[in-house]
Amino acid sequence: MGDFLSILISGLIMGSIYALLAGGLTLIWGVMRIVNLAHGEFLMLGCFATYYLFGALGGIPLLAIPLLAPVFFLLGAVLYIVVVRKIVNAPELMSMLLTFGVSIFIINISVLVWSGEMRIVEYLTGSFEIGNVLISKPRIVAGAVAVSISLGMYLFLQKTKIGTAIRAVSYDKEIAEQCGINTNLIYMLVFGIGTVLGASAGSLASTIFAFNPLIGQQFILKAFAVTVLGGMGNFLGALIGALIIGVVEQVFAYVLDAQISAAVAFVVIIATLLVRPHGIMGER
Amino acid sequence: MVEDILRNLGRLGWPWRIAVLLLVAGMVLFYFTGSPYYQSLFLAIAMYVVLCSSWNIISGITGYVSFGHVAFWGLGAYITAVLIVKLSFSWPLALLSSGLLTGVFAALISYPILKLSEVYFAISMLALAETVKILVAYFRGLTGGGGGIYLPPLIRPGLAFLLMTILALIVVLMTYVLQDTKFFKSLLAINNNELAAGSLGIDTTRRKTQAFILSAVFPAMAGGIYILNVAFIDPKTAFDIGMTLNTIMMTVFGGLGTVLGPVIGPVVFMLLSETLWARFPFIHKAILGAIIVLLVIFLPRGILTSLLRGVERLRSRMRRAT
Amino acid sequence: MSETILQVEGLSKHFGGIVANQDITFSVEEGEIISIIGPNGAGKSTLFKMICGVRPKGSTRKPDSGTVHFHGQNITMLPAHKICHLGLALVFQETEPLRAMTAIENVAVGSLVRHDSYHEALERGGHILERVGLSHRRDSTATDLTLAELKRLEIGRALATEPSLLMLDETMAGLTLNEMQEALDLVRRINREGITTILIEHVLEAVMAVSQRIIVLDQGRKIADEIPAAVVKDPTVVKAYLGGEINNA
Repeated sequence: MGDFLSILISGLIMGSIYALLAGGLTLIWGVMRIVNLAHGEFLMLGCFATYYLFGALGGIPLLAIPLLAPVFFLLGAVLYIVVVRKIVNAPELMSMLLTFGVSIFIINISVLVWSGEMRIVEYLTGSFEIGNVLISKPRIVAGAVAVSISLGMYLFLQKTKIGTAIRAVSYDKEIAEQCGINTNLIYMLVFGIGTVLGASAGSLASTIFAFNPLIGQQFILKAFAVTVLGGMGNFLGALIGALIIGVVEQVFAYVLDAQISAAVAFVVIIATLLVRPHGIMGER
Repeated sequence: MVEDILRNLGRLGWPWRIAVLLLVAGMVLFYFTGSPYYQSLFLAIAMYVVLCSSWNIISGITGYVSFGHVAFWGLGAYITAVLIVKLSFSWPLALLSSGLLTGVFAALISYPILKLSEVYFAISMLALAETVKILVAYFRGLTGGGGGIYLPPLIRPGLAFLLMTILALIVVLMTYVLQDTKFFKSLLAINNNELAAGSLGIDTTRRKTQAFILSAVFPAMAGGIYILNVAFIDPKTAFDIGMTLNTIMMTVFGGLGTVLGPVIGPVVFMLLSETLWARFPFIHKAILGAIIVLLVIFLPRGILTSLLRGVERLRSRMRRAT
Repeated sequence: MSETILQVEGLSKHFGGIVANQDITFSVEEGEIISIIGPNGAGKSTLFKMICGVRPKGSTRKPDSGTVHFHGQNITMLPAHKICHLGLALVFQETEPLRAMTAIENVAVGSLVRHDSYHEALERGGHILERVGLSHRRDSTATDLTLAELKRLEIGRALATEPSLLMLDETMAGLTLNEMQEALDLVRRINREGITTILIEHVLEAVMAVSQRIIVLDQGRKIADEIPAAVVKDPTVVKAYLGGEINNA
């Protein structure tokens, strides 16, 4: 029973980080039809930014998130204006190729600047005890923050005027324009938000894992699995899908092998696309 | 369709025939006299020509862009190795079998996977490659697991070079000869408008599967030649996503959907790589990334096609002037 | 004398709670030229797609019940390409050109269903372009053609498959009066060459002059199946169109 609980909680925590990352990915896809292969790099940059800011923040990395949010938002907006704007609503292959190029660029510049060595943000030691299960403190905190941000984002999308505008554009661009919504502005906003979500996921992940410039590559495929499972463009779907995948991964790691559990994400992608391509919450 | 193929062969003008003969002569000469450094460089170029041309068939001509191309290459390498090490196949037989078996694999997965629409297909192929990597590493008994598999040295590097360039020649020639045939025109129709293609009597499932299998057989044999040459492979190398990405980039750079694009792309890139960038590995890759971005924005049709169009536009402008 | 080329029996299709087609039954004789009309939402396009076996990725256009027989053969569940082989050609409502290919290439692809040689297909394509009056646009890319030209191209492409039955889904939509006249003339010429023709339209005027028989659909059901003169006077038909588009300018 203790084992089961520990797996569940681990899975949910990992899942919540996947959710943050995938949330950004699914938004960008849903609204702009862009497959952002560089999304993992936002996470990576979030890790490094938090790492360097950590010292300056008097040892509380969580503060990095609100501080870095405007920075990353700006980064996303600039990226959009300079590069991404040209391929909005273009065939998805173009966006895959383009963002792939961006990804390679960012990764390799990062390796040049920071080298390939692994780092981690050392913060909080010790564990909480729940039932008779020990969960490390950084993990619990990361999970809680991740879930809060995701829920906050979900509420933002559902309840605010801008959020509704974003959803409108993702349903039907032309109708949204006819309603007077400035789609170009929305695109820029969404890309910026997506970047922030990815970077926040990185911020939190940096307290749990060791990372280096290549870490984005490991996460991006999982993010895709989550997005596909939840339904492209569906934020809530991404949240649910992420939690499911997080838990399933942990189960497989426990039952079989840590190695094989890495395949879970991929099998999920293929299985979902074959059985229910629009995902759990997507519409046909 | 055969008469179309013969017609295409006939259309190969004398300059091309001479070029091909020179090329073959050059290859044979190189086999005997070339330095190992250049042999391995040209082997690498030839290998990417095989990868790009075969990828071009399913992704460029048929329009089903695969992000998992390396899976076929890696499978070919592993199958060749396992057949030799575990079943004592001779290397020629192992090489041919790896092509055949990978083709069968492609046929098996084609049914579910080709039903997916473009983006999902791309991502699924990516996922497939990763899954195969993990499975290969998992079945340690068969494949040596993460540690990889070793082969005894079976062929000289010169022979590997020759084999690879012959393979490259075959693929390119095949692509050339199949232009303007029922097969390729059906694939093009599927690319342009799959719905319309079906309504015009094209069995889209069958054609896509044929293209997919074709695109799997050749990289598999290239993988086989690779491992015969290098005598070692592990999951990380066999299913390295970088190879897929290089393939995509070089083909797009050269001209997706054309016959010579997948030739020009690798040749230019590898030569540039060798002469300029090998010294600065990370800058080199960063520049590559930047180039891809610029290409997608400004030259989405690739260098070759853009060049051809540019030439066409110049010609028509000159015609109008006179 | 003339045989029944197409027999539709009890065709029904529901989407969730919506009835798209309910118990449609009709037959078409060889050599006829008939029209199926009805106000928007009457279920015409659904019917068309079910007969032709056209299924966009991921959707199911198979009927819930009923059968379609073509030349006596049951084609209800056949995929689109097999139906084409049997001699049923269709022209879509939204033009579906092979976008990056030229006009001649588009038509040549249509010929491929009957010929193994692309070279031959190109030759035949040239003849067909003449028939539909597009020879002067032979080497233009499909995306460069006007709407009217695209429609003629699609008709040509369908003709290239050498069909015995041609179905045209709202081909007149979006055409000027002149273009519509030209299109109708083309359809008449095609029918005179022996190809049975079914037109699906929602503007009655367009097809009055050209059809030997008109079938009227309303809200998924067949409400009339008569000669044009009788249809305009049929009270159920008039009622269905009341306030609708029966008197289009």
